[in-house]
Amino acid sequence: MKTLFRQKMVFAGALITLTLVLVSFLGPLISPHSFDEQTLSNALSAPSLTHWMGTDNFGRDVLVRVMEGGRVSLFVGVISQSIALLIGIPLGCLAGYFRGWTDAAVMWLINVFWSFPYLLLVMAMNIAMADMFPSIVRVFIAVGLVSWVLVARIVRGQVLSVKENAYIEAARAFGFSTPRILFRHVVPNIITPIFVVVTLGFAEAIIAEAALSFLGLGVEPPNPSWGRMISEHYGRIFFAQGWWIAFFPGIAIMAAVLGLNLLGDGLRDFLDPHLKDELEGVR
Amino acid sequence: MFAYIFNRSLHTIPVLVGVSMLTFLLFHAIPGDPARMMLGMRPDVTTIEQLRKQWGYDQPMYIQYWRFMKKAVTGDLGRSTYSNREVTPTILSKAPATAILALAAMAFAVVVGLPAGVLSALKRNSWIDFSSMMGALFGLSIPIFFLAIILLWVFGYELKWFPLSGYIDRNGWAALILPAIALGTRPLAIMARLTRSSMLEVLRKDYILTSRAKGQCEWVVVFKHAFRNAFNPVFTALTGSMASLLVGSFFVEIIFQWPGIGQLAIHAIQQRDLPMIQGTVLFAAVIFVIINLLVDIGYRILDPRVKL
Repeated sequence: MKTLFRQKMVFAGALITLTLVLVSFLGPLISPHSFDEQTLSNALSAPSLTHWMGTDNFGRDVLVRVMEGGRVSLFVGVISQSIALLIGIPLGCLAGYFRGWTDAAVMWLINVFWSFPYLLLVMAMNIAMADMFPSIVRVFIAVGLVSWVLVARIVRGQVLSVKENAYIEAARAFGFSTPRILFRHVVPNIITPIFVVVTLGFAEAIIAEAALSFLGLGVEPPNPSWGRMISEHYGRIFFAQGWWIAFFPGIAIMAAVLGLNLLGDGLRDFLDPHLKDELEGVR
Repeated sequence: MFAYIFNRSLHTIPVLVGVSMLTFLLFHAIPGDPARMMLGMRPDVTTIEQLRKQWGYDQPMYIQYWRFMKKAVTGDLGRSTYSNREVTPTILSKAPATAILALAAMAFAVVVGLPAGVLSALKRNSWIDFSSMMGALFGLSIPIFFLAIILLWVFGYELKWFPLSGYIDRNGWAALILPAIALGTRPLAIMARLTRSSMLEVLRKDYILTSRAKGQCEWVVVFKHAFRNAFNPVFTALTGSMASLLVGSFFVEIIFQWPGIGQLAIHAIQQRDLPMIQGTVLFAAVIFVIINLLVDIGYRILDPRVKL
């Protein structure tokens, strides 16, 4: 019963995520409108058959802008999590495999990063890089440079337990080099928890991008971003003057994050119940 | 016990040093230097040079860090480049508002989250379990600023039950309710989920079977035996939640115009007021390290089995 329920959750999560990916990438191609096409005579028209989510104050189609914003969010998720993996896996492996001073140094770095609230550090990094990169690249890097910590922590913990296995000892006895042992024998055995962490990290990245854009630190106009659409237009919700412009991006963020959380949680419980304690308290 | 507290406190020193280094690096070692950043879009070479000299940015990095640390230890985080007010007193003057908001949010999370988690575990796979876990998942998925907007719209503008914005000094304690709910929803969700899984684990233990076999009433079994043992992981989660509370307050404070550190930080970001941004970042991290320390010590007091 429980497994079935969990599988349903995984399925629902996968379905939501997949729908979102397809809609974000195919939607703008199919739609008769483009995200920056302005029709001022048609500004602020309510959701209708021609504009399913209405139009904004420049007469731009909100649905296409939401789909386009989805692309941005997905890119931020993919790239930031790739950066997180590139830093987190090697550092976590080193710490868990060698222990001693290496472990102490990596743990120190993890603890230092861990001492900053997640979003605060993302914001600070973003501001610090203000002159170096275009806004969207800053978001990628900032989110990635903060997300590696969770990956490294989980990898370290997993390596600690995996390296006690007989097959690792056997590999050592064969005289295999350490990198070979780590990447051919250790890492493939801890792929599951890494996948779970990345899925949940992806959800966090989407929230982080929306939060940055909400504060005006994320993607710059005219490119649409869910966070920015909300921050620029949320006053309209209160005064009933085009509530749809800020409302639908909010729903989109929720759907995306919900889908990824369902997927990540379901997979975690289904594949590796012990991960729960390691992951839960930190979010 | 005192040896433990002393040891644990010593452990925070390298972390605090690291925190100060990272903060310093973020705001000083960046290629586009701070003086330029603050001047924004109008790069005037002589002004930049003047500013660099004035703030000591032309010195080698380690000297700058040493100076920064020497001042920071005494609580001097410089002056705002926007209002020229001292950073530390400004932050401290805003701290009570944020603390009140965070405590109220935490109280909301505990008062609703704990019972929801316990009930879910006791009535496992029932509609109560299902709906509270779906609710928790919803709470984890909604971005805090969107939740704040929706709450303000429904309960402030439409139903007019609560004030739209402002602090408790003008609008009374009612002004605290919506911001606290907005801020507390995420920790609530985390707490409910953790309490549930932790309770489920404890309820399977032999001593629960024993106490049931002794014929003790369910109330005693659940609260005296199960809950007390299930509480520890939940207590740990409180720290994680405190971190998200601090940053969550940024958004809640902006939307409800709550005069706390969050609002201060956001304004500083908008005005490119680097010393103020740096000050709030460092302040938040140090507070977080201290809360962590206190929680670890509290954990030890609550549960003598824990050995570090």
